[in-house]
Amino acid sequence: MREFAYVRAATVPDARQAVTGQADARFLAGGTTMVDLMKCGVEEPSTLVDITRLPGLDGIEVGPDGVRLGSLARMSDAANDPRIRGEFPVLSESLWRGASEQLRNMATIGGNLMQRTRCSYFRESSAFPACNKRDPGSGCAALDGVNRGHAVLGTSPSCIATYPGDFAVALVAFDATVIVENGDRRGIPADEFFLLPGDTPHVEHPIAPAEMILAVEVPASAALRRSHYLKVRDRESYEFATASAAVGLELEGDGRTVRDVRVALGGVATKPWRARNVEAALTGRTLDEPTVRAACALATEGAVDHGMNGFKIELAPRVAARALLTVGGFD
Amino acid sequence: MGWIMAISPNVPTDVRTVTVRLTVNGGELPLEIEPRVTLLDALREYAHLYGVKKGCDQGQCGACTVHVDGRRVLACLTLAAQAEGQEVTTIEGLAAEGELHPMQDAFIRHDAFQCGYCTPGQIMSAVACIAEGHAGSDADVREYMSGNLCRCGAYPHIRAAVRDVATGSAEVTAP
Amino acid sequence: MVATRSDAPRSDGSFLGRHLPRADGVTKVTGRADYALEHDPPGVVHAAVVESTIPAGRVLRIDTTTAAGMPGVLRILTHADAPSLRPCPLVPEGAVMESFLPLQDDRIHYSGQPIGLVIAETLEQATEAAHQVRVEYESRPAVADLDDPECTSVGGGAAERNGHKDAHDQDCVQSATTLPPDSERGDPRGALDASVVRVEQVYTTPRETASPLEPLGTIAEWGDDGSLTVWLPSQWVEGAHRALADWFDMSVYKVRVVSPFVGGGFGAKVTAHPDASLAAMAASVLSRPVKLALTRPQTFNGYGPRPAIRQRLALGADTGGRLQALIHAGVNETSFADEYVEGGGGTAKVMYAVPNLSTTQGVVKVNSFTPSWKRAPGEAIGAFALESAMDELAHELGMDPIELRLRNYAEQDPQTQKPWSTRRLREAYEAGARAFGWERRSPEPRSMRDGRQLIGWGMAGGAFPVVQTPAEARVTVLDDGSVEVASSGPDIGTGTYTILAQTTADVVGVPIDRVRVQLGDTSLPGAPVAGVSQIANSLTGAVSRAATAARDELVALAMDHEQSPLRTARADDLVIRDGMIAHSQGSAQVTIAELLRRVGTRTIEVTGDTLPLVR
Repeated sequence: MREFAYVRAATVPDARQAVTGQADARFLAGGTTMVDLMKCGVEEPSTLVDITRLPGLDGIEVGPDGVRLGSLARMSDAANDPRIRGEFPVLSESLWRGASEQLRNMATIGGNLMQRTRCSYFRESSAFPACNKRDPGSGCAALDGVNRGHAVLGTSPSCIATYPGDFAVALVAFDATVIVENGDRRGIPADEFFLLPGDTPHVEHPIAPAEMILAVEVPASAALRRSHYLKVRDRESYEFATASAAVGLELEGDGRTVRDVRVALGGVATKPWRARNVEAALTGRTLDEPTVRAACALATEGAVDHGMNGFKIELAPRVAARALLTVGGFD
Repeated sequence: MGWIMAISPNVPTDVRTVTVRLTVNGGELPLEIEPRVTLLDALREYAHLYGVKKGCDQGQCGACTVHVDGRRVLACLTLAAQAEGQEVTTIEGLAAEGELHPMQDAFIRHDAFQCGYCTPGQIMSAVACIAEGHAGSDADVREYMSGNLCRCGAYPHIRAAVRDVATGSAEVTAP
Repeated sequence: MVATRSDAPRSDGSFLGRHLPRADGVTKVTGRADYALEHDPPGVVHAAVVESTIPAGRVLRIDTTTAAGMPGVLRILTHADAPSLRPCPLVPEGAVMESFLPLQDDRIHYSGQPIGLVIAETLEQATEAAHQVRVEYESRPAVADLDDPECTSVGGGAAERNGHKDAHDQDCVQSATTLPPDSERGDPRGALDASVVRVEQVYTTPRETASPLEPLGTIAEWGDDGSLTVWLPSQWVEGAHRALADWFDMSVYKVRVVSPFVGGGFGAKVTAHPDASLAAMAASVLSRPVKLALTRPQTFNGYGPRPAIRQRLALGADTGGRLQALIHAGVNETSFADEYVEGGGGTAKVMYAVPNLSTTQGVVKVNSFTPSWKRAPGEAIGAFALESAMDELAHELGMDPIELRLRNYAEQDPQTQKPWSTRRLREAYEAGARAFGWERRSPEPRSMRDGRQLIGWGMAGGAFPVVQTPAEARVTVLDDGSVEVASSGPDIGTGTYTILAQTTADVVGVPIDRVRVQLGDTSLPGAPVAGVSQIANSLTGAVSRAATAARDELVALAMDHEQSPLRTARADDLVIRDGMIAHSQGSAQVTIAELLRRVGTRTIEVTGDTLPLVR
């Protein structure tokens, strides 16, 4: 780990100023991504600005309009909040099915949104110099490498690194807003907060270095109340998703016709992947298993098999379908 | 400016260390260390509290689990400086000298370890797991103890030990 | 370390066979067990490895300028200036220990190979300086794995035969004189061709790393007298001891290896590996104790894994399922430095009564660390292939898998035609089937479900040799009535501390909480490797002998010494129980402590062993 300056900020303006003034300065929250990547040699900040003690950013507010999570709320606190567990299951599930309780006790909601890919080639900087995300223009070792865990959706010739998180998959499915501060406050729709790799895989979010996440807001909806996060992985716990789905469902008064449906995929794409084509195919239709399976087959339209990850093209629609069938009461 | 603390490397070599005042197992522990020292290395290499284990040093095994302000965290991904002013508890501070915490006793009774290297982390995690209310069923314990790997494969015995303490009369709270 | 335990003796005084808490339990749950890297010799400094980032070639230049100027850096060792090491021919051809020695020349054999070592005042300084060492390489094409077409370049022969379509066509395979003799009985090829039912399958398994939870690492300290003390996690301190003595060309009596607790071994810690030689080299050059802790990623390259292996099984049977031919041909990867043989055919030789059999094993050299023992080397992976093929045969025959095995049950050792000492495999099949409700198994693929999941039930057998290696132990009875047991043998979590305390308490006749066991230190009587499931039988044998001799001395003292209240007794009248020596017929008795004090003997110290008797 390179030497760096460590500063602990007392206010948001102080923290932002500290990052603005320094090259390669970074905010430090729970550290579960930052410290890890510093050990890998991927992150080499000159200054770490510890924001964990900024006051007033760790709130968890649950009301009739939805949920507002402060950026410094710990993942575990949000996951274990009985109101969130009870009323908005997908938010709790997508949090507690990520990492371990130790890591969730450290990791913050804001930091969770900023977590970076687990692509081995991205993390192994010494043995694999080629990584366009780490070193723009250096190439992508994963394209012809061991890419079983890599993305099949949203990829580009520059990068096929999978977005690793779970929580943001739920945020994208339920139209959450990321509130950021850069002098002014602005809200960024969650779906737009995560960028496709394209030619610039090193640019992952539409925010400036000194822009700080203050909160995440998730609007309440009937679908959010009837929601579920299904995570399929190589081991049952403490593992990243091989394929996952955040889903929600609202039925018409007849109890059979789909009024509102949400589907987003994790573990298979370069960003949290909203499957709007699946939603469109289900909206207004009568909910039954063949309809759900046929609609979910659309989820991986345009997906690209990179040699070892083709199985995800078959797996992801099944995961989405099973999650929908679960909330639909078909299990 | 509202800096609470600032540590900069842009100073001569011999003063790149700073004093980080840790509170470990109830006692003050001032350490002269660099900002890049993790809590795990501070405890092991500087304070010689070797009950905290280094298994992977990258957040993937749980052997370094300690409590910070009563919550279980991984010392390997925590900078020591971040823990300043907070209460750090390690396996050495779980019970008074010469006594065993009920979880330590349960681990012995259930033979919940072999080589013992993951054991301090397992025990710290288990104590917190119960305090959090995550030990209500075998399935809960499996899920909420998943952050601690045991290469010897003592998992069924670990689960039994945690459930024993969770359902027993012994009162267990995170210190 | 001294382990103590407390538990009241059962009324009959017997501790063996009882469910007892581990002798080292309290030590481990309180975090006081001192594993290798948990020592701090005064003045200890930290080392970090610079690894090769290419798998084959050589080092052209190493630029240490930046790294050497970094704060705290004391020294950077490379092949240009590292001390010379002598080879250690501990076990030929890489089993147990690789022949590769770090920093001896510019050649690169595998990715992750140590090519430099940075020593600095702190761990953080050494780690970062190691990242700042700049290396220029001359890269050569590497052989990646068993399937690499380039592998023919080391074995000779045609690349297209790399798939090993025929069990006897292994042209790609290194034909080495060091491979163990292939085994053959009858006419396996002819019998296979003549068989009515045949199954031929290839089973390929990947490299498996032992991955103990405690990573590898070493602390080395040289004394002013030229002695070397090393703390490293070891399944066999005697082996590490011998390796270090050979590497540094010194007497084993000047080397001490200490390893009282081992955070899991699984084959990774059988002897000493490059981390040990690197730490000892650095400590020698700097004249300071050096601690080298390999990182988790470095640990994967710090010892030999079970190699990737491709096993081809050909089974021939009659329509009744009786095996006529069994051909087991294995090929495993090895390094360019050593010809490590995984030896998967051992199980096939003894498992079934098959008249015609051949087992062969070849190796393919790839750019990797030399493979080594990992949990039942040979047997585990060989049984997987053999038993998978037997299941294929059962399916082919439409026969129950257990029935197939019973029809080929080996009533005697089919290799030697000698009777088994014990073999209760038939009973094991029956007990397993009963416990599992085997009769409810449906053999049809995809026919069994558990809820929404398709499931299958299977069975397999295995065979493993019984190994006992001579061991020594010392038993010391102290004048406070306690007993100390000492041996260099390890406890890798398998319970050595506990079973030796049980053995001693029973044999001498003292409460188990009066027994202290000391292990894992070459300054103690010698013991073999904790491997092949032998430590319990090897060490309890030695301890039992020593403890029996100690008991005999106590009895002799009680009978013979004028200060003993039992001096008129005959040996067979005396019993020792619960620390008390008593006359079985009368009321006279004396505690062990009291007797030793009365007779003025402070301790009784006896060494026992299971070395072969010299006649």
